Amino acid sequence: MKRPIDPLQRTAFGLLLGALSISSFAQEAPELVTNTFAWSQVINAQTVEIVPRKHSFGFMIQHRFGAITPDKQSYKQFLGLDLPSNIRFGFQYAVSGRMHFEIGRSKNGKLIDLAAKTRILRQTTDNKMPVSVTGFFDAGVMTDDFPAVGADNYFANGTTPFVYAFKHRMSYNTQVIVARRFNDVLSLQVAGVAVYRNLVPQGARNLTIALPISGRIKVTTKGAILFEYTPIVEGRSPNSGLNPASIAYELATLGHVFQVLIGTSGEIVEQRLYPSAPIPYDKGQVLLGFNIARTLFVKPKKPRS
Amino acid sequence: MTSRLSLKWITVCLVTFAVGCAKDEGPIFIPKAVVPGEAIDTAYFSTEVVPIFIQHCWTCHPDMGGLDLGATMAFSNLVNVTSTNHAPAVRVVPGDPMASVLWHKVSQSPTYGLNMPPNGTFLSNEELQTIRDWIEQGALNN
Repeated sequence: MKRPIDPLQRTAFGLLLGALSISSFAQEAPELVTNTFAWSQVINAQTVEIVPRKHSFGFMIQHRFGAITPDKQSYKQFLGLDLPSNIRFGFQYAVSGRMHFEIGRSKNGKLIDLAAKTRILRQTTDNKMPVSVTGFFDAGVMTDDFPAVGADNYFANGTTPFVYAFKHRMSYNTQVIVARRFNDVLSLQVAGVAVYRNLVPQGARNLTIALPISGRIKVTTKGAILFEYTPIVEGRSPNSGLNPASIAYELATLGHVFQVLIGTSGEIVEQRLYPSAPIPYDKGQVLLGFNIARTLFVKPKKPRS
Repeated sequence: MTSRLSLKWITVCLVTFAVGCAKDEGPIFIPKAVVPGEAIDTAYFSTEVVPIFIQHCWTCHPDMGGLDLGATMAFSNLVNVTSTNHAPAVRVVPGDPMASVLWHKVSQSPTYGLNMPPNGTFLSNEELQTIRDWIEQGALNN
């Protein structure tokens, strides 16, 4: 005679099975650390994050206002909001769960940039892999008109008459980003960035190397304080000895990110940000800006029955 | 499969970088040597310098602004006027570009902080030369 199963026994059996399956799953594939940062950029610097799901989209608006100077001009210019600003629209598409492509367009230089970002390593909860590593490559095309060039202009050798060519519009930015989420509150990141510009003004260097150091401190469930500081180790602007720095407050939900920031450069794309001189924040000048990002998740297709 | 896909795209990126790479610097303005006895190309304030201000500066320095660089007020706001933010330096010292705040601001010199225009664009070498010539020739209201 078949004995009916006691509900208590059934629950206990279910829990045991669940625990066993979790344990065996953990042995096969260690649990990955997620949400080291809320989206693909800290403030200006890239993060290790990508658009999280295959075939999903990301959309972003990045805006930087004019400089706030420590004098009464700031009130007249409404904290820099009346001054010329910079804005970038970016659109991302995840070709897989590990890689996305991005196209963006920013006002300064009328720069269109095409980027690819891919995860290389993922941090695991068991610490066998203590960090996440991501690679990033971006090629920018300056689409603004070239200024007129007179007869007395030359290349750096001083003998070849200067003529603009399409290659002078191109600039590149390659990064390896390493980050660790220490706990629910703190994430830290460092990156190696190589920016290469095909054409530079007199006295500047074609290659710029920067090491952005950035982090996130969560202060509420959705709120976080972000910071980044970028030592320029090679090819800094001849006009400044300052390094770019920014802080921001971030509100993030599953699909939305909103950041209000205080920064030191109106530039957004790395090819223009790191080789250019920040505004002189050592003399009290800063600027305001914001970033808005939206992830548009696409549901995976159901298998045909 | 995924790593193969990543490798493919990384290769595409590297090839793009390698093919599209150049190492150029310029343009560098090298003025022709002055020929003794040859007439100097006079720089005119109203017809050559002011249009540069209108094109590059007027958006942030309009009439009624703190530093009006419009056609009517530009001269009187610049020549022999002490800079508001960099006093006792003078905005334009007739005959001496290196002593003029204006020249440092537009020529991307680090002397007086934020360079102009502040939006990442630059004055062309011809425009810079016009401003420099005008200052060197006495910053006349011509």
